[in-house]
Amino acid sequence: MRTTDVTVIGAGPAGLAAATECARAGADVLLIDASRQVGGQLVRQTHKFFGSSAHMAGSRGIDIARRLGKEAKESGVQIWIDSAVHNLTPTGEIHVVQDRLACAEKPDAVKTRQVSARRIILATGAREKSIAFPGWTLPGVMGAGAAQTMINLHRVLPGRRVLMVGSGNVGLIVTYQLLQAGAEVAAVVEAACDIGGYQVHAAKVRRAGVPILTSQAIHSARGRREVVGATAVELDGQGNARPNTRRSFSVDTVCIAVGLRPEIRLARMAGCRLIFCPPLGGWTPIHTEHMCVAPRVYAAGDICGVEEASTAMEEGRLAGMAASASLGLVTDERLRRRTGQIQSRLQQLRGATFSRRRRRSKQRLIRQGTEEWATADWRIYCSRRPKEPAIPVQAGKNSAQLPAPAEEDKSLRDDTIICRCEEVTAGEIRTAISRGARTVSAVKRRTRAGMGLCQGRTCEMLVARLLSQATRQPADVFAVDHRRPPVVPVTFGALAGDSHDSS
Amino acid sequence: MTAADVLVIGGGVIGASVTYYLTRAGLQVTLCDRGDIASGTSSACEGQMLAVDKRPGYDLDLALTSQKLLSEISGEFESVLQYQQTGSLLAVEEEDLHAAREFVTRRKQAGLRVDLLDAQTLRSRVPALAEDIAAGIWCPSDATLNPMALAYGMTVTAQESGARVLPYTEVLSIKKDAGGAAVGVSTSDGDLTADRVVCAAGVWTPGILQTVGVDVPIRPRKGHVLVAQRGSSPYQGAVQEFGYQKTILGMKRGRVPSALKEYGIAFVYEYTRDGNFLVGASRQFAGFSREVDPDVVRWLARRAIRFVPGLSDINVIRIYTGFRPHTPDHRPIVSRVPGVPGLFIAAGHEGAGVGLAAVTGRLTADLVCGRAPVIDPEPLQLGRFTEGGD
Amino acid sequence: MRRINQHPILQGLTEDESVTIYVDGIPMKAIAGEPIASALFAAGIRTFRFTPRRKEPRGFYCGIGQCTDCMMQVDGVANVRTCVTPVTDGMQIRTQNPAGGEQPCAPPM
Repeated sequence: MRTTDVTVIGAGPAGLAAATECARAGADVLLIDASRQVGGQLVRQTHKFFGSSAHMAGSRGIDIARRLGKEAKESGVQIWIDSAVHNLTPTGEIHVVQDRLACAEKPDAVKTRQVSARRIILATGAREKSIAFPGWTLPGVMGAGAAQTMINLHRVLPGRRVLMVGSGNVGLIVTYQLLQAGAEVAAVVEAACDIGGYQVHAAKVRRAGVPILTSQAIHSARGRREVVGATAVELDGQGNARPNTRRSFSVDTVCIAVGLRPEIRLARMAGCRLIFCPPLGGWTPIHTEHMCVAPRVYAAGDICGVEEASTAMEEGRLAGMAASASLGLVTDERLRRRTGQIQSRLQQLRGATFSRRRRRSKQRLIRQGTEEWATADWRIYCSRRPKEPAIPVQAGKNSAQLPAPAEEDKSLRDDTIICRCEEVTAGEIRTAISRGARTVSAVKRRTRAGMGLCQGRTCEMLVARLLSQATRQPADVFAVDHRRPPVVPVTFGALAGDSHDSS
Repeated sequence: MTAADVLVIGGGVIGASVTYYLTRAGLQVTLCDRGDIASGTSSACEGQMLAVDKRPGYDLDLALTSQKLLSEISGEFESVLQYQQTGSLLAVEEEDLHAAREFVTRRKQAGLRVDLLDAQTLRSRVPALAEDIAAGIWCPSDATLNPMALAYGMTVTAQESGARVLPYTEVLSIKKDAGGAAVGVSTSDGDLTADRVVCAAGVWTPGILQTVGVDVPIRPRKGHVLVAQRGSSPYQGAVQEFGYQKTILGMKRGRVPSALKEYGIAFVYEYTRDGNFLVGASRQFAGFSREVDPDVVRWLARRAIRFVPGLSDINVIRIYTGFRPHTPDHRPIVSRVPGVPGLFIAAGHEGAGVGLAAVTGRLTADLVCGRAPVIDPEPLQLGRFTEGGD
Repeated sequence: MRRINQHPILQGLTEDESVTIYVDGIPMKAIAGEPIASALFAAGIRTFRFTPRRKEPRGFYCGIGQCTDCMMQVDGVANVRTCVTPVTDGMQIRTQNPAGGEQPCAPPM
């Protein structure tokens, strides 16, 4: 068992900054990441960042990743790449499968390790949201992040002609990067009536001749073996499709960029309290202004609400500083001074780029976190984990009292796949709900939706949406990630734990 | 609320079966569960319907009766039970060979079709097993099914014949009239009245019956189950290590690591029709904590690899725990509740609930209706636990 | 699809470390260390498997090893996530379940 002062999980901008901060304070720091290089999403970001010079504005993500990685190493951080955390126990043990990516298919090379940490910093980032429509399982439909990885990291075009779904910053940036890489983009469709991302990105896309069509939703993708076309449809003010407004695009690829949500699985296992903040991507752990999410556990970056790389770095520094101080490595005076500096930079960043809704949501997370901390009504890490997530009781009211099903989204036909792994359709899920399923896990038991290899990562929000439509309750009532290990698939051999670390 | 003839507490495989058979007997049944159907032990177990592991005599008769009943009615269920008569196999280690021979002989005498396969035959049939496994006990009539599908199928069929199903309705207490007879329950959703009440709440039964002052010696026995990735099954059937029998019955085990004894671990393998396979099993008394214990998982994985070395490379995608309702003599309780007219209990099946669901439902219906029982109910009486002490 | 040889920001591709992989028996070039999925995309292959239940085609979806849609049979092992598994020289890659159905495994007795 490796023992550390601080273990940081996730080596994106937040994790790298946090690890460096702790190491500079003199802590023995271990940084763990599941992918093959450090930098998180920065490694595929070829565009220049905005902001002040303190946040490396004007630099490209790929260069910032290199720089942060170098700083971490130079400050003495030990880095494990290709290492996925599959369990975080109530007693604070971190279980890691190593060389997972490179060796997942040659399991004799897989090593398992256990780490015990005096402090844990969760910097697990975010993941892409999904949207279901007829044909979304066809080869050629992919996440915008996946397309970005393909072009900027692997240097291969994912398609020749693309329809981009979603006009947030990810959708706009990936559109532009697809063009740079030599693909055509037929259009960007946006279900909302306004463009989601920054105007500067939108202007760039438009200048390149790509129309951004607002109040338009993806209706379907078509093709037998692969995508050969896609259809969009115009929405009215209530989000319903307007009749006779279908518009067909001849494309071989559809990219989905409908937003990111915090990656909270490990946060749940650590016993963090979560609240639902749509402006920040969904379920998010409440935290103090020092990024403390539970006793001895800190979190930073997109896991605490989806923002930007620059804010993630600052949050990482805050978490690193607070974790170091709690270990007695930093004086109170220095903690106060440094925290003050970081906070004012964060404020500046958020003032510049944040909508008021997002700013208020972030304040709410911190206010609740601080209150809970003060009243000591915080789930104690190391004790029993919360029995059930913060789902209001009415989520499970008996069927006799349920209101009539809401008008269902007509674009989601009964034969549309919802769970890609187990091939469960919207119709099967609706039947399960009509028979009494009132939670995501009840739907799972009745239909297998979420029982596949991805363990519901892709479909749980979609199932929640169907539950929400059927019961006329907000979707967030239903959607919470499960909290049982393993967080990633792990072999029997690795679980048996003989190969590397039996001590 | 409208009155029912019978109110059934608990929508697991047992409560679903009781509801099904009572409805079939022409009674108006209301079933309530504090969650969805099959959201407790029935969705946190395995799906083996075994006769081979039952003691010859009453226990074996009970299991065989249940298998027969289920084969009669399974066609009625709308949902696919994923019933597969793949047979069952007990893998015998060298040190248990003698005990295994005796085990087989006793079952053959009782009329069960069962064979002892020598090491060579065993390996040719199940190449995935470790080379040093000495023998196999093969029972072709055993089967597996999906417990959740069984519960859903039985409730839906009952509903179609008029039963009322109330999920997310938690029973808080049982109500008695002035004469002390059960007349209904009070729930999180208000009171429900009924002429008779059947408590089929598995490990949660003692808490409910406590409300009418009745002690039931059922304790939650926690079990861990590992679910493997689909499409990677080394064998499409059911396998257990012979030593599991000792674990269940609390017998001494031979030369195995002490952790296996402490956690009650024995290798159990079950292929499911969905293409996954499940690996168990552990048996612990750990209260109602559903926490996954990494050390139990470690020893489960080690034990599995000892019997099927190829598992080492196969992915586990999910781990769950569940509570098996344990009784002191490993027999279920299917009985009137002494002292409370109109109150019945059908619970305490430990790991055999799936296999015994059909006979339990049928026998309970027989008791409630006062008709000739499908099997002698005497050994399953609740009173058996107190009589000895009186 | 094709490789991106010219890019306004990223440097040109260096293809010095090239390996040979076999896709359903057909040899093709790939760049050492790249994931199987990008090698297949470069060769114009985007259908990686067919699903067991509905026998529908699937390919590359999340790109980070989470969704498992991109699984193929690699060197005899089924369910390999091609988006995160690097190519090696001589690797045998097969479309998973070309006819649908479960992967073959030992039948019951």
